[in-house]
Amino acid sequence: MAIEQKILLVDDYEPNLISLEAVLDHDDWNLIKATSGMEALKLLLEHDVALVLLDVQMPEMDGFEVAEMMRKNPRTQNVPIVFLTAISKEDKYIYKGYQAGAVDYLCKPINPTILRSKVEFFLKLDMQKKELESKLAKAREHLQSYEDSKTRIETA
Amino acid sequence: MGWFNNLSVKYKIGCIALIGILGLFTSFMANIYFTGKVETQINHTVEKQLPTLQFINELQLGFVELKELYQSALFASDLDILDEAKDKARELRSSFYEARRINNDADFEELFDQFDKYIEVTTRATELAITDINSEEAQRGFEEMNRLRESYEGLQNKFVSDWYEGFEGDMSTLQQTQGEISGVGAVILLLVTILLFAISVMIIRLITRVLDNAVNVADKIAGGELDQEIEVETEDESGKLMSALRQMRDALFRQQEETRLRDDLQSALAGLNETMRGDKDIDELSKHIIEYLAETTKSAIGAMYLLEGGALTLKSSFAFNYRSGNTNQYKIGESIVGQCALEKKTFVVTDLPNDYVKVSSGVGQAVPSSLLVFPIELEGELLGVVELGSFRQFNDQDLSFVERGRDGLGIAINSAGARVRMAEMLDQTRRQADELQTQQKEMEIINGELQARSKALDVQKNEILQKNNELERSKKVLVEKSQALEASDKYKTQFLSTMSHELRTPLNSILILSQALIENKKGNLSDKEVQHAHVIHSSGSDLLTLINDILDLSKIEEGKLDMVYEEASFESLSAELTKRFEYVAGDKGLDFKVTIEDGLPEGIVTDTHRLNQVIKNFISNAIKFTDKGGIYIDFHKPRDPFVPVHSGLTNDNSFVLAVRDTGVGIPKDKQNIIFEAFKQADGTTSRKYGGTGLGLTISRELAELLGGEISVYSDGEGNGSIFYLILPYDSESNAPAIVPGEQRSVSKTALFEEDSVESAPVAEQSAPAVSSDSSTSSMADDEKAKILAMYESGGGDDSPVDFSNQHFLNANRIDRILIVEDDEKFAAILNDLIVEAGLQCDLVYTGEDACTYLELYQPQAVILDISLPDLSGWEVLQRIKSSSRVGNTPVHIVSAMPEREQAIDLGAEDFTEKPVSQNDVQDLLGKIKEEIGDSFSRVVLVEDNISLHDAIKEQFSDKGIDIEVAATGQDGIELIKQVGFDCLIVDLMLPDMDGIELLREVRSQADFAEKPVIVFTAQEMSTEREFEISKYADRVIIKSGQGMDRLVGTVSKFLSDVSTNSDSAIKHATEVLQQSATNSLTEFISELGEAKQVVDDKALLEGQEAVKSEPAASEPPSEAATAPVAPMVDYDDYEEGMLEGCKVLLVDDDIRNIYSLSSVLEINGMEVTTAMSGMEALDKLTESLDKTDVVLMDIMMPEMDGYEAMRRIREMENGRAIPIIALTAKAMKEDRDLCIQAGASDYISKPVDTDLLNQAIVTWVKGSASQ
Repeated sequence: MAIEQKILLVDDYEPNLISLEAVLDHDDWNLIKATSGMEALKLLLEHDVALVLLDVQMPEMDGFEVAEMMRKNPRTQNVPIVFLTAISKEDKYIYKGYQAGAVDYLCKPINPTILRSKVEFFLKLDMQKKELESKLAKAREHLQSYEDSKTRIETA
Repeated sequence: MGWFNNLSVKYKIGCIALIGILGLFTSFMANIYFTGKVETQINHTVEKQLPTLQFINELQLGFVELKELYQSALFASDLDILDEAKDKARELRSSFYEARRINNDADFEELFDQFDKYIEVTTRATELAITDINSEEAQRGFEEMNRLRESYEGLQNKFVSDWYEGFEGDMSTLQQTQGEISGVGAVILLLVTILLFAISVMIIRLITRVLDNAVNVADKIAGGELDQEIEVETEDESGKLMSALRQMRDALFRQQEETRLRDDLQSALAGLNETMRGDKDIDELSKHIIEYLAETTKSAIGAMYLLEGGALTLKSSFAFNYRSGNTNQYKIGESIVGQCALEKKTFVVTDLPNDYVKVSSGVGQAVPSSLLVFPIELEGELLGVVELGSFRQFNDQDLSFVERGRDGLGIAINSAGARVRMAEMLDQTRRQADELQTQQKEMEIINGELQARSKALDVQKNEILQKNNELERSKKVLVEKSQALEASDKYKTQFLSTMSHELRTPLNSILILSQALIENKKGNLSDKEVQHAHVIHSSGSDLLTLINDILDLSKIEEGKLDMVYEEASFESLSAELTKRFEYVAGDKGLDFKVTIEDGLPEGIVTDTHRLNQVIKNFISNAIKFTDKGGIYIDFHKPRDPFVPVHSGLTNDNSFVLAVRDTGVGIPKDKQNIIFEAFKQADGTTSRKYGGTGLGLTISRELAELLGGEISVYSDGEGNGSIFYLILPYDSESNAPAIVPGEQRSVSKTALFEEDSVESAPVAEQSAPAVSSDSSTSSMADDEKAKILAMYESGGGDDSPVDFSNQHFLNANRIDRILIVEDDEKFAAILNDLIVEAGLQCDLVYTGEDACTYLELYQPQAVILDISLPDLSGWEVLQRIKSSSRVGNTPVHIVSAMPEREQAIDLGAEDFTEKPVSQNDVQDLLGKIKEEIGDSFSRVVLVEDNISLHDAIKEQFSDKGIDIEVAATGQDGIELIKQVGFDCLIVDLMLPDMDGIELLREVRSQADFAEKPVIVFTAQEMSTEREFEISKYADRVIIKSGQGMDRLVGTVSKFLSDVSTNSDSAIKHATEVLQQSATNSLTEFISELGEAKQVVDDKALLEGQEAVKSEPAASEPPSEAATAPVAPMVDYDDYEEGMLEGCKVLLVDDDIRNIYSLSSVLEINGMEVTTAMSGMEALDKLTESLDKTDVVLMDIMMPEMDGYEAMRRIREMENGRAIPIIALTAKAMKEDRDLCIQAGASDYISKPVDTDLLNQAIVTWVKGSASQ
């Protein structure tokens, strides 16, 4: 069962998006691209995203802010965010990234293997989560039908 | 006798005398009377009887003689005897005559007649006898003669006896009278004497009796018996005496009475004073006074009013019973009391009416008959009024008592008041004294504490002193580090310039190959692959541009840029620019226009390539920052507002290239920093425009190389900007005179200063001056050679750059001083002395040059003259001190103008007055050296091989590093403990201990835990041992051929690192500063935001008014609004799940709002569609109006605001029914009304209360569903 999982790529520098696209070329992965924080948020409202790869340095709304916004919205607060940044390896920024809700922090230039394996890992997690959710939903359904039949029997 | 008694004593005594005199007079008169009588008799006797008697005697004798004579004559008959008888007869006759005249007595006459007849007859008889003697006739004559003589003789005898008889009778009568006279005189005398005695006794008795009486009375008066009767019996002196006594008595009595009255008054007053004496308060005093007054004046009633606050208030009373009508307070002039106060006069009122105030006692009551009202005053100032009522009339005594007592009352009351005030003040004073005492005690306690604290402070002071010393040390260390940091900056520059070259090389192949891939000549690449190749190429190009920029910059700054001057024309420049940028600008929809002002020369001499680089940079910036409008390039002559300031540029020899854009503009406060490397006006992580910020820096440097300058003008954000390039027509001859190497290298360090602001803010304080001595150029040449070598080797040289070279080490110890002095000789002397002192200096002769120098460099100190040819030294000083970059540079004034105070005020370090002695200069240099912090790094070497000591020492001392040496481990530890170290070099092979042991020992001390340690050993080491060593040492250098050089290089590098680390304190401080600056900036921004909000509100209001003024335009929506809008209904309660599946269109221009709101809505199971503008919302609704249950509409949106969007929705088909909830930050009622007018169903103000929002949605959705 191959569920299409959506990955949101956010970077204001378009070549970077293309590069990321090249690295993350996978049949099961649906790559959504945004060139600004605004656009990213907008897309996040529209799409059910499994993972966000987020550039830090962007005009108007930087990556940290996007992450903060995402963390505020229950719909997206659990979406894993991987920061991709060229800004600095300084701890300060890394901490800020983690504070803003990053689950990971990668510095550009990016090692494609590492990126790919991280993405795979997060997507797998997401997949498992979704499976668990669907199982839970099914279990609930079963429980519900069980309860229903039980009451029906009782009433009968 | 009564009248006599009334006679005065003098008359009485006069009486006595008069009576005496009268008696005497009487006796005298009687005497005279009797004596007179006797005398008459005597006189009679004497005058008549005696001569007669005498005559009788004579006659008798004569007659006898005559008879003889006649006889003789007859006898003798001689006629002669007859003649003699005849004479005798005549003589007797005359006697007769005489006697007859005395005593005309008849007897006498008869005798006389007989005598005559006798003579005649005898004469004739004798004559005849003689003639005829016996004639008958002679005998007849003789007979007649004898007869006549007988008759005569008979007669004569009788006469004589008569006379004798008479005489004897007379004599006996006289004797008898004499006896009678004696008897009468004696009787009279006796009588007078007796009378006088009796009168005298009577008068004496009269006088003494009265006097005795008077004495008696006087004695009694003296004895005090003044009331006895004094009778005045007489009117004489004694009576007067008595009446005088009586008057005296009366006077005495009156006087005594007066005295008594006065005494009474005095005692009454004394009593009053007694009453008033003592410390009494006003109430008590006035009570006592009124009681005493009433008592003394025997008044039955009394009241005393005192002036309090302009009204007379009843203070005390005597037997006063209150009844209606008499109040306790009177105004001045009100009633008698008030009137009395007004006039300050004593009133006595009598004949009081019957219903006047009554004096009552237990048994009855009566009205006083008289009233006495008098004021109490002191020195004319009214204090109060006393009213007394009495049954009797007040007499003068009372009045005078009152009059005289009044003053005392005034004084007493005033002093009582004063006493009260005094008492209050005393009380206050006492309280204050108490407080003071308390405070004093507290003070003592505090004092104690203070003393304790001061002791503590002393301790602290000592600690601080210690710390100060430590600080002093660390400051020295810091200075050292900062110097080392300069070296590291240098190192970075060097590194960058090297790395740029290194980077270009690999890029070269990337670009070429990606270009080849893009071309896809074989056609075997997919589009995607071609796209990737594009990305590779463009990224590579970007990188190349950046590297070129950096390389350019470093080249320029190192002065290695060779300028190629050639002729160029404005036309060609213009054509090239147009060709190059017209399309780029056109792509972005921008105008692009180049104009050349008339009158410019045909051509210019410049480095066209560099000029183009500058212009290109300007234009690409303009295009980058401009979204609409255009880019306008203008070549023109300098105009007044843009007078060039660069030396050498004049209006005549230069032109201006202005690049004007209509883009975002540059805020005023950012206009300075944009020329600094790596700076953009927007430097945050969310900045809109990319780029390194190197372009303008390069442009500036290039412009200066071309002998010109650049500047910028912008009206601020959003108003576009104009960049000016001002160049001389002939750049070649106007190229900057300063040795490029010097200038550029300095500027480059400045560049990295800016870069390092984030990581090491201290850099600003570090002085980046580079020696201008001859070695610079040679070193620079060395560098060049090295880089060339690298190029030649294809950039593949992996060997690290040798940082131990002398250049950096020298840079470590640069102490550069700027001398600003127009007196060239003195400047030269100063220069020599400074060089002698081991410092380096630069000379400028004008203030302008000094300023220029200071813009470029950061000298360690400035020696400044005041009188300079152009700018005054004050101005230079002010510029230095107001500059953030060189503001901390110590400035030493050396001037002939004695203005020390001004110099110090303006921030100069000190002031030396010309003429100066060499000692003065030495002192000055000493100070400067102190300021520069001529410290050294302490490097400790622990090495057992003594022969190596000197070699190493020598090596280091060449680089200006002093080194301490120890031969054994123990000595090393001792040495370290003594002097510490900034870098430690340890040989592992020590005679007494293992090097590692020593390292462990050293590292265990906190002071040295972080200090760099280098192991310098000849040992080959196992990996394990290497690991062991790496715990303690920062670097291991093997003693080998290159070992010594590496050691020196590493040490110097470490020393500079040390400074970097130690800078962390300053870094921290800077961060704190930045933080506070950020905070204040944030505040400012929020204020700005508020201000903007206000402005926005105002604008909106104006907009609303505009809307209102066009009723026609607003009509349709208001109509539309009538249908679904039932404004402000009560919201239904919202329960979870109620909105499951509700479809919401959320319209907001801010994605943040959409995002947060939609999250809330989605939680509640709503399906949210979003739109980011009014238009988009309309589009969405057009698509799926029936699928939308409710619209949440933001009001403030660009392009089409919420009002407009709502109107449009209401105009849509079926658009009237859909509930629209407006969301806006504006909470005014007018805004609400405006929303409703525009067609909103409801209105919720931001920030949105989600519960309220849910309720509103429920209400409206249900409402519209039910319709």
